[in-house]
Amino acid sequence: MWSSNPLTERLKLKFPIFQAPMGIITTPAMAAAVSNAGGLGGIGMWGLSAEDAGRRIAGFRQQSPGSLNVNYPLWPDPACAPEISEAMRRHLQSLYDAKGLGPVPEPQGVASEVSPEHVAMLLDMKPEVVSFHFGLPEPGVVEAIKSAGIFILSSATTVAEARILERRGVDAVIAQGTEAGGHRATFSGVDIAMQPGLFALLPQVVDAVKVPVIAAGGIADGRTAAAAFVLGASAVQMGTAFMRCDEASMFDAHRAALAEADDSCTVVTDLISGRPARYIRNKLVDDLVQSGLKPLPIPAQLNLTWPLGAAGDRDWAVLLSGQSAALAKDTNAAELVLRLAEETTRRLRAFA
Amino acid sequence: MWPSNPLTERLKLKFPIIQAPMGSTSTPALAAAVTNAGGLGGLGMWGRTAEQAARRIAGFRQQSGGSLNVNYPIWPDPRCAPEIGEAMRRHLQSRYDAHGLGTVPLPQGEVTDVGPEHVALLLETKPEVVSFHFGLPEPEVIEALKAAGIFIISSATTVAEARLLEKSGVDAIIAQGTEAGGHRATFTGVDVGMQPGLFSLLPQIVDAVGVPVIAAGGVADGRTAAAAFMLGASAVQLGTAFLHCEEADLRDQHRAALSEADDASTVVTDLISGRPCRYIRNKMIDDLVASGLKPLPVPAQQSLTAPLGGSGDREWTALTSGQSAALSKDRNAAALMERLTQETTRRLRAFA
Repeated sequence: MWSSNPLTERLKLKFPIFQAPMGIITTPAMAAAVSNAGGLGGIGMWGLSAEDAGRRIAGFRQQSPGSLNVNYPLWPDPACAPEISEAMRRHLQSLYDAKGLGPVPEPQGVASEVSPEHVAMLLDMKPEVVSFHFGLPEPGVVEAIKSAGIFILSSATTVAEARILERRGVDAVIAQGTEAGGHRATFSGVDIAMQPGLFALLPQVVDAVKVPVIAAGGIADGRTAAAAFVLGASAVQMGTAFMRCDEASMFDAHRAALAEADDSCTVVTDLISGRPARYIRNKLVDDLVQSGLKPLPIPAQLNLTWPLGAAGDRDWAVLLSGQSAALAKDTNAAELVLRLAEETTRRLRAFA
Repeated sequence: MWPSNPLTERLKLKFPIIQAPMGSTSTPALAAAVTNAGGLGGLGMWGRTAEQAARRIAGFRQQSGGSLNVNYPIWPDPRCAPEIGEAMRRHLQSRYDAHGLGTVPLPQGEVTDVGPEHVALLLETKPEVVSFHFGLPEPEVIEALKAAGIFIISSATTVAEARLLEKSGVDAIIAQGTEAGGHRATFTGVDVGMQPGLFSLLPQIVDAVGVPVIAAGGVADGRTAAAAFMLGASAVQLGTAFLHCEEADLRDQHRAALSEADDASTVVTDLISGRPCRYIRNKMIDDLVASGLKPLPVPAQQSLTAPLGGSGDREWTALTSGQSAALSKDRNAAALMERLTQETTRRLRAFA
């Protein structure tokens, strides 16, 4: 049976279906709905203090007795040469002016690492899973969290990255195909153009590592989930499909764009946030590409571009999306998990 | 249970497995071995005269009583502004000198549009399938071939391209994911960076068209074939896996490179042939990308770069490959077909 394996047993899941812990888009309500339906809910801790992070975990616990995945991105201090930030701010000023947004703010943002306060909070609150994006934190942090019985995950965009993660002690690896929306998890500097699609990446990661592999990128319905299990995945992780759920914290403009997206309306660029991520292509993406400017490091660049979409204008909003938005539907998180489980079972049996 | 469908019935195939008719790499021996093993063998007619094409088809018929797929690329006259050709020839001269190759030749190549001689030849020799790459020829050519009972196939890299092909009367559509080696079949000018991976592309094309859909890109073993069927494919097409076979007409250094390739060793560029195509990255690609030069149109650019690989130097050879070269190592087509059919059957049953 596809729905039962060592990973689901360890994490006490009814279905090996993970909701991607997407930065500020995820909410305790969404994660709880997913876990209550039998999947693994996730909360993103992008830019949150340990206190805020602790509150979000508590919010989840009030709504669900199930397992929780808490996600931390890892990036260095986003300081950069003043020429880069001044050129970007000058360029963005006319766009801000057109939206009546006043002066472009000074770039902001600090390093994202799992600080001692966060480690203490995690050891206290004990989420069942802690996942990382853009590699892993210092070995001491990984060890401290693992020795508390917490399951550790991180994402690989190539086989080489999966091997590095396994060596550094992760309990499972997410294979992130090029189809995935949001930030490329790449941490080895491999060129985006050389990163494989999920169809090529997943079986090669499965062959290369012994830990369970979770498929991400392009999965949004029972067919795509069934295909991932056939390729050797122990679980599937979906992001874009959960963005179309009521519980996601999303701009209306973003929801509308997802509802109209097709297979080839997205593009990967580092010009929105400072790191390569997949978005629905719009005027904001085209304008920044044409500018020829270099982005500030993450998250400083995002702090400059984000306000342009706040007015609700789809052309200038940050429209994260994978390549399978059209396979998903507007729904809620519990329905999505249950429909996916049912469709996957049916699909796998169709060839029996 | 394998999917049985109009495609396998109409073409009298035991297995819905298609050998990609890869330009000059395919041979009558390769195509015959695949067809004799129950799949659909293919012969590329890139740059062949009608007489040469007829000889290739006759060569197949001597070795097999089964179905044959004959493939034509479609491109316009490759003449271009003399500045472009001269700049490229000047750049390549020092590379020619380093390989003792004399003077860079004048660019060669002409329009490929399935002229009247080819149509007459096809109506006479009646291959069971005629497939096209880079779109379709004139409607009259399609009508003439279809009226003779020949099955017509072409490739799509987006849902929009699949819809266009269906409207033009094709009998089946190949969904070419970004994982695929060789030339991107794109004929609508959609940016390579926006084309979806097979995990996203295949189910969305299946949803969009009524004709059978053939999965291509990253399919190389039983797992990937079974996964393609889960996603709704009526058949799978493999290219790189057949390049490993002894029947393929391949240079030794290309074989060696394929046997060492991993998931992230390839890149898409138009600088080798004149059209975007996936190759194992090497010095020739890096050199041409770094040059900042524009390529001549296909096949004129190829006529300038191909001689560099004649010396046997892997770093200066066009190393066509998909992203799943590492999933398949079979030494001949019959062995590949046997392993593929057994593994696919086993994989489809594993989740029953």
